[in-house]
Amino acid sequence: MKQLLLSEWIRLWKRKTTWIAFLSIPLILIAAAKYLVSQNNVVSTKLPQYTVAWNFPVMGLAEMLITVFQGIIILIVVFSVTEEIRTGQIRMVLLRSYSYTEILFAKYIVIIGVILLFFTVYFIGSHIVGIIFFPMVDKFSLFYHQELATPIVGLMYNVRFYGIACLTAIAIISVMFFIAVVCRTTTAAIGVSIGFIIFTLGYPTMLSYFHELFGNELFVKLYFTSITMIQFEGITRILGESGNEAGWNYSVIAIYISLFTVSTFIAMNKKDYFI
Amino acid sequence: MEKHILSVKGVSKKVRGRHLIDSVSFDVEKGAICGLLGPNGAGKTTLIRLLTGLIRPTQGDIYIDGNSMKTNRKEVMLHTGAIVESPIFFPYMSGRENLRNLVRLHPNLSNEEQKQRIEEVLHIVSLENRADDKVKTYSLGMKQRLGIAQALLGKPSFLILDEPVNGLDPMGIRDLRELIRTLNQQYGITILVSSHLLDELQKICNKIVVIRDGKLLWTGSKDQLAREDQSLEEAFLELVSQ
Repeated sequence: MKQLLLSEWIRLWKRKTTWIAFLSIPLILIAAAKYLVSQNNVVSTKLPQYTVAWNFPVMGLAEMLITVFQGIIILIVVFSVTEEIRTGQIRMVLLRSYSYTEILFAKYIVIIGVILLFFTVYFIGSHIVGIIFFPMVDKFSLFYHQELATPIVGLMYNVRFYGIACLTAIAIISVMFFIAVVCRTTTAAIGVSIGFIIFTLGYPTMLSYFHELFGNELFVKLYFTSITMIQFEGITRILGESGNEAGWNYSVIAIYISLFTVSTFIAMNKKDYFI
Repeated sequence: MEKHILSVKGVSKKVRGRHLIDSVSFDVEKGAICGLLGPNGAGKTTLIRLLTGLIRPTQGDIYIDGNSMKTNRKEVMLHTGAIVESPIFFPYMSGRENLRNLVRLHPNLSNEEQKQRIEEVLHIVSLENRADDKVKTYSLGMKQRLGIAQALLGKPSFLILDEPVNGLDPMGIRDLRELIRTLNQQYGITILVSSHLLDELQKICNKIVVIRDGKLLWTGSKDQLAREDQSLEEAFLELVSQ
């Protein structure tokens, strides 16, 4: 299994897509920093939305998580899974003494590894860019916190934020992996994956029209059944002083991971592969 | 010791109510070059997919060197090399990188042994000079030879080649024919080769399996199928028109 993982890892790094994704990190960070610098001109310094060197890693990730990160996950999963199945490249591996399940499991682990590495590089890079572009204040505001945070507290907050963001990314990988396995073409896989992201962004907004009908507690739970909404708002609420909806949000992430991993397993064992 | 390297026992494959392969049974003796013949759509590639475990039979089982494909595919594939349809490589890697990536998947080979094995198979298929070029720059004949190289990485005792001469020019076909003979005679590899180019099979095979509409039509030695005054093509056409 170790050799299979190594083989998949090397192959993924031979692809230009993977390198382009990694090399674009500085550009993404600088673009995020420039945008947040302009936002600072219209935001009070007392608000958590005001970006300083210590909260830039979180501010610079929040929106990128549901746009750039999601896009990179879709491309890597589709090229590594659907493309290899569709073109028959995977047959070269299947003709060795490994089962289809083992090969796809290795791909799943390797893709998670690459994305975790992406998060790590982004985390380090965002601290550097944060220090370059933003003021290094002694204390600053955090979302859903009454007390002001010191840089050390901010660093711990950032680590926890990135940790939860990684969990949501694994949930997204699980969903995209399922889509990549069941779709027959790369176009279909990319289309359905983007459709899933749009759907999970759209239905919570639709639900908000019926907020009063559901009542606050049920509404919030339904709202945070969307993995992208957990990424967009849920993580800061989990990390708030009251730890709002932490249990619910963690459960939803766990359900996404387990449901789609099991579904992928069932889907790939159900059919023959005329590859 | 097993006399047969391949035993196909009552294998059927049914998809959506249609029999792609229907109760096929035959054996291939060790050391043979066996030609798998059949008109287009006869089920040759489906049978080869079954022989390599890419798809599972609805009924029956396949034994390679005494190991069941159903229950022991891992062991079977350790000693079997194959090309199924046209060999498709990772185009963004060179020939050598492709082989390096695949040789890792053969257990119990040290780093040095892996490198040595790659050089051996590149030498066997005469691709040493182009090994560091990207596969997307290879001609079809070179891809077929690289396909054979990847199939040889695990030092197989049984090699399955699906339409290996498809799309090759006459020189490419001749080179491949020589390569198949060398693999059989010098390296002692038993080979099953499917093709619709009957002249080619006549030149290299000593055993023939004929299928049509997923059913076994004939199996035996080449000499049994074609009379002395007959070409394999004539004998084949006579057989399938019956």
